[in-house]
Amino acid sequence: MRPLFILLLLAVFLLLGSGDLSARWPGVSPGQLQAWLDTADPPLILDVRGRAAYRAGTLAGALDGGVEPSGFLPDGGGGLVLLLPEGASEQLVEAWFARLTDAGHQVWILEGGIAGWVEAGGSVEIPQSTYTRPGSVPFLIPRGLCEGGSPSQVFD
Amino acid sequence: MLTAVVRRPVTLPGIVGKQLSGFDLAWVVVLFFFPLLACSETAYPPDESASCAACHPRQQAGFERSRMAVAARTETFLDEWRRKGEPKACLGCHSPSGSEGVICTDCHGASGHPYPALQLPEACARCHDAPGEITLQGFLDSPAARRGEDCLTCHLQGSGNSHDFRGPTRPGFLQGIATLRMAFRHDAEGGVALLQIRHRAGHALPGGTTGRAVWLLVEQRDAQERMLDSRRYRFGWLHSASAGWRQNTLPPGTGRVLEIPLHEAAGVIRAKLVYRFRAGELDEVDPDQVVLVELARFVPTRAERER
Repeated sequence: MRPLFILLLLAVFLLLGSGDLSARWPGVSPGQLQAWLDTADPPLILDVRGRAAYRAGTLAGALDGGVEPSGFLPDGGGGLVLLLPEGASEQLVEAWFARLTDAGHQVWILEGGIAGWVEAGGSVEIPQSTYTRPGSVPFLIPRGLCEGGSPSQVFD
Repeated sequence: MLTAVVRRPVTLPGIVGKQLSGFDLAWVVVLFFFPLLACSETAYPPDESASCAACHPRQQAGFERSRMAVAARTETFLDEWRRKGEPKACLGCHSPSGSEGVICTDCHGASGHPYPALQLPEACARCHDAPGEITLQGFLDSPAARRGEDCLTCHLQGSGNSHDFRGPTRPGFLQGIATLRMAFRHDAEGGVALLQIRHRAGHALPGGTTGRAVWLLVEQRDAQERMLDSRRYRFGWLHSASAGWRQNTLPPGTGRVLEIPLHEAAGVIRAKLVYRFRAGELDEVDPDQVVLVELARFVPTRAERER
């Protein structure tokens, strides 16, 4: 009995010490996430690595949730994949899970983080470039087969 | 020409596997081969749809309900076309054969009956990936394409040989097409509303080369419903005097994320996504516009946030 107990204890220590967060929390591999994103009901991706990391490049369509779980108010419901900072502490992960699951999300961690995603061939986008300016002035006809000359309206 | 777009094998329920009498056989000959004989001519008259309709009345009737059948006759097209000085280039897609819209051979070719099967999405690309339009380009890198869907999955519902093409002008077609989510982030820099727009079209939204656009309206109001901030975002094609044309449509799959700073007195955020067919400002009347989705969320107080 005693050797079995020691082995179990050893396994727990190894698990906690390994830094493998997905061993304690549900994880999703980059390949699984890519397939999930192609479904009709894709998950929400929440990037909690901080503003600088988010702006440097994140998964397309990801929200910047900030770094403080208590400062983020989820909209609740549906699958959500967390993009964590490298070396995130268990306390931080625990706090994010509590915040998000309390709001009704089913939460997964992206295994390998952004590096694992890129390594697996996933693309990243610079969110700033996709921001949309408010109040942009519409055109009449875009440059297509019908484009007969200069546009009737412009912005700038 | 019907054979050219067959997507599913045609079965003959009630006939296959039965012993046919001489009388049955005679009817099969009359019903099956007579239309084939009628369609065997390949030199169609100028209005060739009459010849196709003789054998394919259901397909013809379905196609006549589509906007493609009247692509050169719609008020929206004529309005824009005349304003631009009636350029002939427009007719390359709106009236390739000089008709009031697209006719059978414009897609199926002029090789004669039986027409070769159309390749998708290439057959649609001739007009729907015209210069300045990215409908097909967007589709090729979309979740829908990776799921093995094609243009007809959404735009030609019904039985396999239907020609009842439908798009956003068809009532109900846009229902449930888009989703809008709103979360909040509060940090040292203040509060921010995070809006995510997603849609399930297999291409960018809106598709097409006209002035169609999707508008997002976001209002911030205080606890007494007084307006604090109002913003409009337009997703479509834009032109800049310095940068030229820029496509600003909503991409398929990932959609778009917007961050909107919260007014310190904001009590509620209301967001609305509107699909418009007519070019021009949002204030201009578009009787056909469709509200895709509306959303309202109360902005939590500090005490509520820290709970």
